[in-house]
Amino acid sequence: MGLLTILKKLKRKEKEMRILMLGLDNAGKTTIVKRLIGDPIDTISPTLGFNIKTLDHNGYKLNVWDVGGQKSLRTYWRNYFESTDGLIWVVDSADRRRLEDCKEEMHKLLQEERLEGATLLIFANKQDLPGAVPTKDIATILDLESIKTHHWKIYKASAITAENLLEGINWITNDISKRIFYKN
Amino acid sequence: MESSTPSEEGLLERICRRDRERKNIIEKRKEEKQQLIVESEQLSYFKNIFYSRCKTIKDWLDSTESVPDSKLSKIFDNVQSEIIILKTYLFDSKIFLKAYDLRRAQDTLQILENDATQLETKLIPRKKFGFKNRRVFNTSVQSSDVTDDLKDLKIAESIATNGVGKQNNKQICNRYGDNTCMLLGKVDEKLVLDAENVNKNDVLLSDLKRCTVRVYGTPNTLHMVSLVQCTVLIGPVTTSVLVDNCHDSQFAFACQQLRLHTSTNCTIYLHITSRAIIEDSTKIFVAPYNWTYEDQMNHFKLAGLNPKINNWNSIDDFNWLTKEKISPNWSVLEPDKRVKSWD
Repeated sequence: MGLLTILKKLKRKEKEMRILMLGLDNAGKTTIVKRLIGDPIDTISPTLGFNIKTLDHNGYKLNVWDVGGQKSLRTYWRNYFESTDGLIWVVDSADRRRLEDCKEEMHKLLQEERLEGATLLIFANKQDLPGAVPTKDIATILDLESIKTHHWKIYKASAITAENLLEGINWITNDISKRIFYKN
Repeated sequence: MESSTPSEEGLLERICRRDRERKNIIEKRKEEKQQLIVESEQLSYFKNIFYSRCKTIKDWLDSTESVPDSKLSKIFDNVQSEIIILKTYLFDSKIFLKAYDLRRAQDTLQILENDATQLETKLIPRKKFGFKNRRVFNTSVQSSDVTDDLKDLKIAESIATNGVGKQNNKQICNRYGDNTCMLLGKVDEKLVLDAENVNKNDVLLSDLKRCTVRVYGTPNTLHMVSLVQCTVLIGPVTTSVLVDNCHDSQFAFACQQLRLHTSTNCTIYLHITSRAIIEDSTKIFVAPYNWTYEDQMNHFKLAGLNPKINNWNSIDDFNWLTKEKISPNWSVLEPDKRVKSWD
């Protein structure tokens, strides 16, 4: 358990995790965050820049960085990569037109050196809509099977009905804590 | 002389005291140092853990020769994650490791990683993916078809342009399922969509030229792509309206959010309960939503939009981030230039 002491010392504020929320514009990133902290979700505007929210979850303190997804903001995404423990990639399952874009942007991110080792959680969001692409197909389209550099998992989710949001957060915090708080 | 004795004694005493204090401080520092040394931060401890785990990985890699193919990918996944864990461990231990030990550990890890990738490419050839693709491709119908086609497209770099066109058409047909209402590739037409078709569905208008479109109902999301010289009138949209690459057109709609990209010379008669943003667009004019039809108030309710909240004249421009001056890319359309009647 010696490692635990080192890491705790390093993390200073123990059990703190930094989570980066990314995805194309209109994917529902802000809505998911607001849903998780219990804010109203019917007055959300497109994100200009970014929001930081702190979530207390299962004894962990999650600093969630929700960064806007507009094209002109994507070049700034890299400013947020440093010391990221987990990455949440949000997909608009109903936006068939841009799923290919979505795949490209995601794989581009995974090449990033500074995101190496970060746990990847994918929310196939908007599954409450009748036109949503099934989660299984989204996994195929995003070519998730080819990801070997990160731990990843995809969840069928909806920010409106809150389906699977907590389950996803549970998984990502567990995976991160296994890695950085190291249990044998 | 008499006066010098006490001062001499005083000097001796002072020297002794100083010496004691000095020794005390040294002792104290020693103790502090002793306390600081955590067992887990000693080189031997680190070496022990680190190299024994490296050994485990090595063993796994060695075992791959004798293991059935089906278990290979699992093993390689384990190896990958173990290497990532070790990397993190090494990185975090940097503070107490000497440069030489750090380099040695890094080298060991690097060699392991290289071995792993080499073995993986040797034992699990990429062929596996190719085979899978082709199989899916042959069974067609499945929606995964779309991307597989695309992949093939990209791999084969030399494709004739008409080939691409065909592919695109096929993609669009495949990509949009039954739940999307679409109007694609029309020129000089008057088009109408009714509530029963659009309510709660996504609506896509794409590649239209000189068309007039009326949508009576509440789409969930509205996409408008590549419209030129069109007039589009739409009922209340539940969530967002996404506009991309539209030119010389006028729109009227109500929605929660508007995201307008790479468009020029468009007029929007807008009812928006949240905010509108524009990006890479110029000559955008806004005016309040003034298209009305019979069932509209019910549709506002159905869409969950408040007819009393309208932020039509506050638009954020992603290409104009200063607050002092208003963006030159959009402006409010003067009242006398607005369309009075849409019939």
